[in-house]
Amino acid sequence: MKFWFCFWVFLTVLSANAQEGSGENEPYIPKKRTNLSPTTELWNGLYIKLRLTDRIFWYQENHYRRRSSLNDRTDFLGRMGQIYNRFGFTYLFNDQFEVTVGPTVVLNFAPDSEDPGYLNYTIEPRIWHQWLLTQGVGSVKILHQFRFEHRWKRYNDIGADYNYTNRFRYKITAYVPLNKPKMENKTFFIAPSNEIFFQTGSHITDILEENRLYTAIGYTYNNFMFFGGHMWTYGPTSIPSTYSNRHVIRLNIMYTLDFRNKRRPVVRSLPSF
Amino acid sequence: MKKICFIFLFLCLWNIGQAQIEGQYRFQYGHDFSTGTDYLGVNFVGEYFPVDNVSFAPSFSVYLPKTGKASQIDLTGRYYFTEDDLQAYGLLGYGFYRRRSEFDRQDPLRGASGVHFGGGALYRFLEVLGLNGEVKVQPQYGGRFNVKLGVSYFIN
Repeated sequence: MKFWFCFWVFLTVLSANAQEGSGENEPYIPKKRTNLSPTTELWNGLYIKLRLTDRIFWYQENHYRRRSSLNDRTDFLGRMGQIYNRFGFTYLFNDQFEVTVGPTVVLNFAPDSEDPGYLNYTIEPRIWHQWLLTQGVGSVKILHQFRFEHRWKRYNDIGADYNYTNRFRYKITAYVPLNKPKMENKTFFIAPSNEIFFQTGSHITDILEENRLYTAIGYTYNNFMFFGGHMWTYGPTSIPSTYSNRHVIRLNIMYTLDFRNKRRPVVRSLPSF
Repeated sequence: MKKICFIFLFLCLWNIGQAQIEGQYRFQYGHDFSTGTDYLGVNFVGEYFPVDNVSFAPSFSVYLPKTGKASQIDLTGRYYFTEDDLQAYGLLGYGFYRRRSEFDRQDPLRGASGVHFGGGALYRFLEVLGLNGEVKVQPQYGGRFNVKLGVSYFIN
């Protein structure tokens, strides 16, 4: 009995010391969660997918993103947000699985373009790769998208250093055709999705970066797909226990083209020896 | 001397025999690295063959310095020596380099222009795709070397 009492005292003292020690080294994190007021943004996107061979595609995204003004968080387009360019080559393993690898170049615009303490925009390069699984459930097409990004990013403050982070994303999307039995030409569809973002890096304090809940409606017409909708994002800020959220209107066009068997016959204009 | 002339003539005739096709278009995407500045860049090239063997290949590079910004536009001509799966070429051109300083608010923009020359090789591993390696010297930029590795798409 005496032994167990001594053991309990020992553990209590050890635990108290450990708590004191961790309190000296770690930043104070408030227990109460604070949610900032929502802001608004408008994202316009162009997606291009060109089939070069049976198995290889060129993939491209170009986005023009606006965000709400400093003094009006509901106006969607008061300030420049980002110009976002993503490229890559896709290798199609089979109809259910494809992998894409490539670079991304993002221009991140300053929070306040009038402030001389900011650069108007900074360049954020990334290398990204994506593993896309496609699953058919009745007439619904479900996409599981695992995307990994290796980013070199900095703040717009003059002289700020670049920081390297890794980003891990998973998105699940369901394409539900509304006027056809399956996704094909001239199909109206609805596409709810959810994407969760995690990040790691030497300066990252919260591994969760963001969650995006997005519902798009769209229409396929020949080589084009027109789609857009509302997206709600929620995630931590750089201030501990403080979370931000955004309402984003997204307007997108996707263009696909098959280059197979459309190449001109090669005709030599000089005689060969 | 006769021997050298003969070899040169032979190479010229052989090169004509291995001609690139007039009217071809290509697009290239790559990454390049410049000594002297030690900047890594993203590079895009469009290429057109107005005549066999010879192409015009304007390119644009966005470099990634730690602070500020840097970019370069090159207007380059290429002469292809071979046309098989491994295509070797020499190049000559003129470039415009721009560097934007982050700290010097009075004179934030500096530029330089100059001639460059060098060579490269393109390995066509598919009918539509090739791997491209290239080295060029820029004597008027303090003798900087620029090394590039990229992927070429044969449009037609």
